[in-house]
Amino acid sequence: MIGGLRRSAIRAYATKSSPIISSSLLLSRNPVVTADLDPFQSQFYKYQQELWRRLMWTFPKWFYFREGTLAEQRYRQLNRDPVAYNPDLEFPRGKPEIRHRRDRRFKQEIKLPKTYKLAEDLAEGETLPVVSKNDLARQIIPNSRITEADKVNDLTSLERKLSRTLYLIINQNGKWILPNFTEQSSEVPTALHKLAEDGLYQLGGEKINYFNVSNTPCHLHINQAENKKEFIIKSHILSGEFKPQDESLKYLWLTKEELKDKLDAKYYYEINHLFSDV
Amino acid sequence: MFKGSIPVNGSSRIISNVINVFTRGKRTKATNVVNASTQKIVNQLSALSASRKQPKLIRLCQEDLIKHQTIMNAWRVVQRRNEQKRNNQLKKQYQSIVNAMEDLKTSHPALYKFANYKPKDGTRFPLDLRMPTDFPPNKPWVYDYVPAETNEKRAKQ
Repeated sequence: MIGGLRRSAIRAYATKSSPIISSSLLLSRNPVVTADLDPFQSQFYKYQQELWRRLMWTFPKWFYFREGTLAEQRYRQLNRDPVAYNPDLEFPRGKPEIRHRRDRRFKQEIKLPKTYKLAEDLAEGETLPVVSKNDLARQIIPNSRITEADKVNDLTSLERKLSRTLYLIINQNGKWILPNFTEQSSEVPTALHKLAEDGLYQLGGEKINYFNVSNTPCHLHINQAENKKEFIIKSHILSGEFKPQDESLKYLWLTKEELKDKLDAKYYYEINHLFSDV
Repeated sequence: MFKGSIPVNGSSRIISNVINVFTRGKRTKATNVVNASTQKIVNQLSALSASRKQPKLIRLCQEDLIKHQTIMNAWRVVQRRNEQKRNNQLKKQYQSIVNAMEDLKTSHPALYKFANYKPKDGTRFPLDLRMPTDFPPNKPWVYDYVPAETNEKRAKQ
């Protein structure tokens, strides 16, 4: 009887087909700009910066500007001498200690001549001159860290959230997943990373510049529902356009926090260590 | 004349030797000489005493000192916490690679071999990978990328 049980158990196991091998692609867009500072970080850096400035040596003006030159005159116009100590006056914040036109008690703030004019520098009736974009003397205004895609909250754009790592997810049968590719013909096995690379081209067109981190899969997710073994391959998109070849394909570029809301909770909990916090 | 001058020469040699002995304190080789331009900067900077260029020492009262120490301690705690978090994540990532490879090894030796293959010249780091900067470039993303193979095809046509 025991033998019969065992035989039936073996038969039950044998009838179940072995899991399908598939390759999932963890395609990330790395941050374009540096990470945003949290309030504590920015406050600490400001504190350190102030300390550093306070403890800095006096600017060696005599080294950079020779006495009696035009440049020195311009420098002196911009940087007025601090008030010297006068025994007839009262100094509630303490006696000034002037050394080399600097009050030793405070940090030294140096103003250098500007090559352009600001609105507040203009005299009355004067207007700002038109400056061409190629003018080397123009004021440098850095580009905004918040892009158009952020303003309209376009989740499919590669230009959103420049300071964060974005990950590609696609919608399959109403469920958000990492793009998953299964081998078509099983006669000659295809390497997992090759499968993912070919899949990416089929998914988003061939005009994508990507970098495959390794041939080695970084995670194994066992999909019980579809009897699948999903090996995750890590890859970075460097440039190019992700253009879905299938018009009906829904895809999103999301950060780690946003993935938490979109992905299945159990699935997210299993793979969340693969996503970057920055 | 030449013959007769020989003893005179001999004696002068002796005299010069004696002179050399007496002037032993004189420096004949130029040692410890810096570049002329460097020397100029050194002169300019050392013309003024350091104490005149230095700011006044910060004298913190007890309360301010405690504030400063609290700030530095807090910073260290945050750094340590972040480091721990990162290390934990790295450990998890490593473990999941190991798990995946162990499974491949037993179930699909052929795929395992592919996954373990490392090119002899190593994985080439992409030069196109951009370092994050404080502010984005004029075009945040390059869309008009054409693969090298397509370029070659175009050249042939």
